[in-house]
Amino acid sequence: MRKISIFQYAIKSIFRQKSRNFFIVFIVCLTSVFSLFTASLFEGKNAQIERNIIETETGNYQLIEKNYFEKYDPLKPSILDEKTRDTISGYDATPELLLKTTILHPEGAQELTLIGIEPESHEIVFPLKEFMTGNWPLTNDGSKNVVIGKKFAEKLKLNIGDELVITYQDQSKAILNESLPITGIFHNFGPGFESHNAFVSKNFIGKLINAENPDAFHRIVLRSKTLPKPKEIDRNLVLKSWDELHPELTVMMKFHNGVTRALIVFMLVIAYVSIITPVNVLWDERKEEVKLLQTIGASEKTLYVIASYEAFVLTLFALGSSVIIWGVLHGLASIHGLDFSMMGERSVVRGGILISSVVYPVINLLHSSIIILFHGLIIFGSNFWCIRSLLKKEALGE
Amino acid sequence: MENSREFLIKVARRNLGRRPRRTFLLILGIALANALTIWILTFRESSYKTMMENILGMKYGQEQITKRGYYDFDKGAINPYAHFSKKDIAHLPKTFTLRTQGTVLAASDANAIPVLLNGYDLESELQHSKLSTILPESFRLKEKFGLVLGKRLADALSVKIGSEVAMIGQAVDGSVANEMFRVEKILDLGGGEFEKNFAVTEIASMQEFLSMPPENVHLLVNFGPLMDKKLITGDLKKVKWQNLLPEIASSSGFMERFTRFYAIFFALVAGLAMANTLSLSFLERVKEYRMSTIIGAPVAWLRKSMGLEIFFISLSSMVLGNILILLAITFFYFFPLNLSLLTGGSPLQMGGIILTQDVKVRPEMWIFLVCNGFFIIILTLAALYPMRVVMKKSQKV
Repeated sequence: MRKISIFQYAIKSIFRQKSRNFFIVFIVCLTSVFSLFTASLFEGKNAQIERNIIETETGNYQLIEKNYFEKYDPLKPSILDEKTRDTISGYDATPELLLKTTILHPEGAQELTLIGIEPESHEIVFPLKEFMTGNWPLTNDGSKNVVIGKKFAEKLKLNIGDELVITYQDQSKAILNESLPITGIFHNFGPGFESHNAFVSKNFIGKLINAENPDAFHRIVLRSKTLPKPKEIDRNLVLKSWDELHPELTVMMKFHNGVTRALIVFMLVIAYVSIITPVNVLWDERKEEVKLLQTIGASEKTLYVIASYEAFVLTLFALGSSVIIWGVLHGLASIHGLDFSMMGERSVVRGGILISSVVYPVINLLHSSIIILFHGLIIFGSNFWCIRSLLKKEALGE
Repeated sequence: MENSREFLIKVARRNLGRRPRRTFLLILGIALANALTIWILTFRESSYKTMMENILGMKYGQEQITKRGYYDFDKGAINPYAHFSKKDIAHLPKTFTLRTQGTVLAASDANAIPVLLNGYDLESELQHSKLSTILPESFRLKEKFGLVLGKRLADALSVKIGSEVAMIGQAVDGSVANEMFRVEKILDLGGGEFEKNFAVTEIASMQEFLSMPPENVHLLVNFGPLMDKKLITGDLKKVKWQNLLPEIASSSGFMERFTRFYAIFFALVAGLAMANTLSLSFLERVKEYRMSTIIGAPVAWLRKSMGLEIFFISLSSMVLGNILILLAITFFYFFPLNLSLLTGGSPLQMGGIILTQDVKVRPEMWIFLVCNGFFIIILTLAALYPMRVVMKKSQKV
């Protein structure tokens, strides 16, 4: 008589009831592909939002002068000293001076934040030149030239060559007006950002707030994935990551992730209750076989080992095929993207920034592994539960 | 005839009782799938309603009525010259409040910040909006140019109660408006951008500040049921909250479709499970059915017997699923679910407003009807395949 291993026995047992086992594999494969694809789509959507926000004037982190961060008070800028230079060395960084102004215009009053930049270093966080018409910023020459957003220009009917009159408060608390020639218009960054921000030279803001030290700044925008150590940060500065700077957006992303996770858990429950009956039938039908195995000396432990091998093979089939299907779907979606406009996401604006409705999925290895693991566990769990109840029944002589 | 029906019911019951464990698992599985489907839709609906009650009740209302052209959503702008007379809205149901607003530069001794200054009719605002949750209903500003500020805005301007704030803006007659306002109240709204931008004065003061006729306003904010479009006449226009908060509307619409998509998937998986289990049960009885055919049982009788089984399974699973979900809903109505469970502890905020985190889950009749109806259709379709296969097999004598 030919000896066979438990593994071979498990495969034989599975192929004895092809259609029933196919159903189990099919259900687990279906639910896991659905869960994996959903998770990777949301991962991609979040990554897309993150990338757009970071690349639009936010950076990964910002070192912000405390007074400005808490009160928008522009009059006490920080100075880029050696210590701060040390902190940001190794990071792509651009220092900025900011001034919140009001535009009193016949078309209506409007809030406008002037962002004073050093054009050369600013290129790193926001390639302004690529998204503007006109011919500034080129140098940090202290000129009054301003680059305004397209939506702002449309609202106030302004064009390149026009003058923009800003109203602001200077160091002596006087309310002053200043006329700035418009030399450029930036576009394609969403109505919120374009309506409320304009770029000028950093030295010009320095002049307006009487902070003519070229090293003065209100914030330094950093492009880096590594958070500088808190002990290196000056007391007058606060370090904020992009998600802390956009709390509403971050918490909404977390909420969507939470909902997705809850749905995936529900999916696991549905998959479990869907396969438990066929697994139960499969073991019920093998009652005689189990009895025979026990008669020839198989212990309970051996029966559990047999069940584990069978569960392992089923898991291999189910999750192997689901990973292949998911891989194909992911590959296709990665090339062409998935247009979320079909799910009602028509104009996707997040945090005032325009984001494409086409999402490219991203694989998060940890999350995907957890989903796969739990789908594997439901096959193991259902098999163990069924063999346990079968052995119990037999012990009771049913 | 009566006897035959009773007999059929008896047979169906006995068949279901033959493998009680399997029948129970099947019923439990479908019941759970049905309950989870109802749950995800009900929870989404309840949390959405709680969030929107917060945001709309505090600030935006269910809808707004403005003069045509007041809002330019494409440019993210408002046109302060587009104001209308109170006479134009005198016929509307009084579930609204009137407002006048304008962007101003708020300047204190310490700082100057651009803000949207709102002129509220405090009496009706406290009557209709959720402002009454943070201010007593009897609250009124004492001075003509009195001011209520959010705590974060007051901190940013470094002002206290009694401090003066200069407001500089654009009047609707084209001149520059400027006036000294006195802070009378500072409100703690729990943080958020709303608190950083909250600046309110009495509507009459705002009208004077903006050089507007006293009978004219910018906005009608309706906190009651949606108004009939036919009532909005002349140059006036209804503005939905979805236009005012497009990010929230789009995000919420997306989640709504997404959860529905999941719900349909749940029902399909449950249907597959039922089809498979019924196949197993019916196929085990092919011999039996064949015997019945031989001794003269009509095909219709077999069909009816199987149909009754399916009916019992569907009915019991629907009843059990609905009982389970009603129990869960009742529990989470009295012990509201905290939304921060889904955000890792971070407070949810929308439209700059920190939202109430506790969601009282409320049953929605349409969700129960749609889910149960959809499940019945899916289960009926799922049962057709095993029935057809077994009928065919049992005919082969």
